[in-house]
Order: sequence, then C-alpha cells, then structure tokens
Amino acid sequence: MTRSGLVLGVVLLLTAGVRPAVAQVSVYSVLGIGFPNRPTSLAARAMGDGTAAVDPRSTVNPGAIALQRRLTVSGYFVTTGRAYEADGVSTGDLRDTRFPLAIVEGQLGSSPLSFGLSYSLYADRTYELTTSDSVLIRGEVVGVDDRLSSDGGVADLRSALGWYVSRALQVGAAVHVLSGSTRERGIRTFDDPQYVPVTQSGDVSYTGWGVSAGAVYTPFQRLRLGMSVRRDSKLEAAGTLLPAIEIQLPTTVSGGFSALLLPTLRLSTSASWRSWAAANDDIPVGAGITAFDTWDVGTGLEFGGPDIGTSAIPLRVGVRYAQLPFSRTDEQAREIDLSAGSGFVFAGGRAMLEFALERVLRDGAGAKERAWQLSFGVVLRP
Amino acid sequence: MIERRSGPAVIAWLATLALLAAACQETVTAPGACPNFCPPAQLEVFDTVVTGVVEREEWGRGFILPQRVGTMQIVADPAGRSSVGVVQFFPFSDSIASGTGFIPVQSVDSFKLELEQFRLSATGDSLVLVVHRLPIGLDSSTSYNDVVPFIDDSTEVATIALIDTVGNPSVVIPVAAFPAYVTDSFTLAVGLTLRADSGGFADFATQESSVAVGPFMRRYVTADSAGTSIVLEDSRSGAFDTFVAPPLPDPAAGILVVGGIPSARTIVRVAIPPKILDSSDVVRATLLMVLDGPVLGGPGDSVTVRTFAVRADVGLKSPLFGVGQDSVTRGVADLPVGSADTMRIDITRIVIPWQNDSSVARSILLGLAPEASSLGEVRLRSSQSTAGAPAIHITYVPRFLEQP
Repeated sequence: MTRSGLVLGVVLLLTAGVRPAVAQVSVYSVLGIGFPNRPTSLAARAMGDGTAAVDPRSTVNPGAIALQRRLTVSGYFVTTGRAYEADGVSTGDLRDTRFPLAIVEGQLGSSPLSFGLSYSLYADRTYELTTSDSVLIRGEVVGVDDRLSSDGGVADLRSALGWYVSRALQVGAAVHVLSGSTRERGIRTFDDPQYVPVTQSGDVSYTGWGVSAGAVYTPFQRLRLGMSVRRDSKLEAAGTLLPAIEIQLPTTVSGGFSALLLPTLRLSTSASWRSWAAANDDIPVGAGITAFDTWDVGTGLEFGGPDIGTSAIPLRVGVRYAQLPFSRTDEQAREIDLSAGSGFVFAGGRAMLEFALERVLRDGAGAKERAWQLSFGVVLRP
Repeated sequence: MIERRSGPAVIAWLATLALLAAACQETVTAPGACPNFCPPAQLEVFDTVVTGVVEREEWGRGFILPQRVGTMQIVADPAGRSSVGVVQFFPFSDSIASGTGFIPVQSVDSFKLELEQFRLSATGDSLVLVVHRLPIGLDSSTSYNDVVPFIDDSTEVATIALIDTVGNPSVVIPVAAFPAYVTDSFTLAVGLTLRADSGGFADFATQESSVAVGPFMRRYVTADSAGTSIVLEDSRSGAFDTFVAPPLPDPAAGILVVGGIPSARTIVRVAIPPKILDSSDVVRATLLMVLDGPVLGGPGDSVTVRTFAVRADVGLKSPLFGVGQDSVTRGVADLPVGSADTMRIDITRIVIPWQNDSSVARSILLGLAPEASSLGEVRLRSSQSTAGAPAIHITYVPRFLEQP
C-alpha cells in the first residue's frame, strides 16, 4: 500500500457512514440548548481532557496553536452505546455514532504565526422520544402516542491565530462562529382512527459568535502551563415552530498544565469554568429549566508515545469530572468519565491512528445514564 | 513522529476500523421520561364547536333523475308518501324465434314478470308486491299523477309475496290480464305497488343497474312450426323503468334539501377561523346540521348523506374532488327515516387540504348516496334559520412551540 493510498483510505474510513455536525447524544440533550460538547482532541479525551489547556489539537486554547509548527489535519468519530434511567423510565441499547471535531492547523510560512481552522460541536440537540398517554376529546378518553424528535445541534467554527513569541511563550486569539440547525418533529397518533395523525416539523436555526484568547507558557522543559478565556454572544434561535429567542452563552475560563514527571510519563490536568447561569434571564419561564454554572476538571497520564518521543505507541489514561448546565430540578447533573486510549504512527511518520475508550457515568437532576464511548481518529501531517 | 509499524499491522488496523464503521447503527429512539426529560412544548389537543362559520348555503334539485339510476324503490306508507314502480317493456311481435328463423305465433299462453330485488324493509309485516296493468306510453314525462288513476283493484293482474331481503321474485300473469296486448302492438306496461299494513319498502333493479338485471317479461306461446304446434318462449326487457311518487311541497325559505327524486344537493361555504385553520393541524372535523323535521323516506328505510370536496366553487354544479374515492368522501351520515337528531358528518379529509392553501375552495357539497334511488330526503336548517344554524365541531393541535 502506498503512502498516499493509505492516507486516503484512512480519511475515507473516518468519513464514511458518520453523520456530521453532531456529537454524542444523551438523555440530557433535551434540556436547554442541548448537551454541551467537549472541544477536545481524541488524545485529550483519552486523558480525561487533562491536556485541553495546552493541546494544539483541541479548540480550547488558541495560544496552543502556535505550538503547531507543521501542517496537521486531525479528526475523529465517537461511537456511543448507552442506557439510562429517568423519572421511572429505563432504557438501554441506545447507539449512535458522531463526528465531534476536525481541525486543520499549521505554521504560516516561516513566520512565527500559526493558524488553526476547526469545526467542533458546541451543543447537541439530538433525541427521539416516544410517549404514550390518553387525552379527553369530545367527552371520550382517547389513547395517543407521541414521537418527539430533534436532530442537529450548534456547531463552533473557529479561526485561530497563534504567535510563537518565544520557546517559553505562545499566545493566540480566535474568532468563533456559532451556526447550526435542528430539525424538530412532533408526531401524534390516536388510537381512534377517526382522528387523523399529526406530524409537525420545522427547522430551527441557531446563530452566534464568540472570541477567545489564550497563552501557553513553558517555564522549563518539563512543565507547560496554559490559560484561556472565551466570551460568547447570545445564541439566536429562530424557526417556523417558535418565536425568535436569544439565550446568553457562557464565558469560559480554562487553565491547566502538563508536566513531564518522568522521561516517559506525562501528567496533564485542566479545568474550565463556564458561566451558564447567565442564560437564566433568557430562558422562558414556561420551559421550567434552570441553568447552572459549570466546572469541568480532568486529569490524565500519558506513557510514552510520539509526542514525548520515546515510543510509537502511547498509553493514555484519564479521569474527568464535569457538571452539566441544565436541569429541571434544583439538582445539577454531573458526569464522570474514566478513559484510556492509545494510537500508533504509520506512513513514514506522517499519520497516526488513535483510539480511546471511555466509561461515562452521568447522574443527577432525576436521571442516571451510563455509556461506553469508543473513539477512533486520525492525525495527518502531510 | 516515530514509525516502527509495518504495513500488515496497518492493514489490520484499517480492517478493524472498517468493521467498526460498518457496525455503526443508529438507535436513538427512547421512551420519554416526562416531564423532566421531555421537551417543554408538547402536542396538545384542543376541541371546540365553532358556530357562524357555515355560510352562503344553497340547494337545488334535479341533478339525478330516478329513471337514470339502477334502483327502483317501491314504498307503501299508509301514513305518508308511497311510490309506484312503472315499467314499459320492449314490444313483442306476432312471430317468435325458432331455430334460425321466425315462425308465427298461434296463441299466447301466459306472461311471466321477473324482477331482481335488492333490499326489503324489515318492518315485520308481510309485504306483497302488487302488479297492475298500465296503459302504454310511459316515458320520462310520466308523473305520479299520470299513473295513480290506473292503480286500483280493477287493474291488479298479479301479486308476489316478498319474503327474502334479496332475491328474484317472479309471477305468472294470464294473457287476459292484458286485453290491449294486440292493439298496443304487443307492448306491455305494468305498475308495481307495495301492500303493507304498516308500511314498508322494496328496492328492485332497473335496466340502468350495472350490477343486476332489470325487470323483464317472459312470454309463453304456441307457435306453428311447419304445420306442427310447438310451445316456445321469449322475453323482453324494460324499455323504460322508474318509480314515481307524489311531489313534496317546497321547503320554507332558508331550509336546505338533500336527496329525494329528482335528487337535491346542498352546497355550504365554510370560513373556519385562521387561528385554527392556518396555525394548527386539524385532526378531526365534524359538520353539524340540525334537521328541519324528521328524515323523509320509506318506512323502515334509512338514508346516507355524503359530503364531497369541490375542486372549484361554481355553485351546485361545482366539479367534485375524487368522487367515489374513500379518502375524500369519507364523511357520511346514516340517518334512519323518521329521526330528527342533529346530522353529524365527518369532514376531516375535506378540511385538511384547506390548511395553508387558500386556493382550495372551502366549500362542501352534500348529496345522498346513492342519489335518486329512494324517496329518502333530508331537510336541514341553514345559517338563515332563527335557530339551529350549522356549526363545525373541530379538534385540532396547534403548532407546537419548541423552547430551549
């Protein structure tokens, strides 16, 4: 197999049969603007997002872009199998495959500047729910079956510029365009055939923008620090099925470090805080949803691998704790991810296949969800 | 990057990826855990009776003539309106077919009237079909008043006891029953009445029927076949057959009529509020019309009123959508003769196309099914009536508002 053929094959595999523009779904996707995505690379996922603040292939810190001195294309998909219990309802064997992040980045000529263009999912509103009930119509009780679904989400298109100020300091800034749509659909069928089934559907479009800035500081070779701030606008939602509405998106503050504890062992930790509670003023009272500020903390270890430079195969493990922003109760939901992953280099060092396996435990706000997530991705350096 | 892997290992990885990609199947449908994990907005059903939305009604008679339909209804109603079936047969001749030619008829031995019966009222009484001799010359201008002078005991030529709901009743009639047979150029005409103490009806096929055989008269003769007398028979179908009844008085002003003979139709225009029609999904709509008096018709009979959507509203002769198609003409109301309940007809399939399409005529035409095949007639109050104006009972689901 030739090198170019191999690369082409990998790209085709990653894009075939995978739905774009949406990430994992969850029982919590039905709340608020949807389930917030993790804008992190596959390697970061395998380490509990511990490298998010200093990872050039994640879209958290634009300052990290400056570390990418070579043209790089990367992306991955996630296959999820999950089950949940909520309000007395339990279900399992739910499966989906999503494509949460893709990024192109590299140095601008021989300048100290680097660019990064990326797509990631900001929030996912994909779900399909079925309910059965009875209603009183014309003095008679009539059984009804409803199927309510939403398909789509909000994408985050980021254009970032990084400046390699020195070996110790890199800074960057980015502009984010938030765009997307969901196809909302409601279907009601009646037990009594005299009532005609109803199908209502319509597209809801979402628009918004954001800016972010960050820096990466490497005080000495074994330690790297990262910090970034992101400010998003209000998210405008409009469609045929609802009046125009604007929801304030959060300000995000992220920070973290990556430390080479041993020549073959690296520890990374990152944390993010998001001011989701700012949306409370904009969420319609009738929706009955409360938004909470969230913390997202993750840490992970990497043994070897090409980034450290000691082997072709890295071993990564991590753990992550995150709060979820939306709830219909006074309780804020949270999730714990336990992750592990690896990868290997091929095509003369120009490509790398990666994978990660995660066990996700989500609890709170009246639901308990358990998921296995298997991710595969590729990093190309032509 | 560091490369230490060989080609076969890469191929193995790719094969694994290919299997995983092929195994990617979406299963996202799940039972809703409401209300906490369901969308805030739900599909809600509303139900209301809207009045004043049926307007500019009109009716007219004469769309289908009784001699153009496949059914002849004979009604006996001691307390009301009876009908008479009339049949004039194609003429016989003084010869009769035998082998490949015709031979002269020496004498006529008898006649036999044969009918095909569709329906019979279930009044519990014994119903007797009485056959009367009528003068020939029946045609589309023949009215009940033309026929009734000849309906008496002196013209009675035969009777048939009707027992089964469907069947082929027949009766032999002596030649003497038709003294003018020869002078009328071998042409016979009969009138059919029903004898029932407490009333009833019977439906028979006519020549216009596409599913049955209309009345015909069989003749038994003795003919001369090369000097030998032989017995032969031949028959004639009806040249004209229909049923007649005394006309009903016209209804009062503002009253609408559906059915009867000749058939009457009513058209109504509907103006459902835009809030319902354009901002909701109609799941059921019922036209409510108050009867102006009991349903007319044969004792024990019932009528079926059917609604039609019109392609364009040009009045009572508007072209109809999909006549005979169940999806369009789904709305029917079966009304027993004598009942005076409010007529309720499902018009859901007619109303739904009106939604978000102002080019569709928002008019409904009402007719009897089948038309001009019985004495059944319905008289309805209109928007001009002082009480009991038409209304629409409508069940709808407003477009749901999805909220984040």
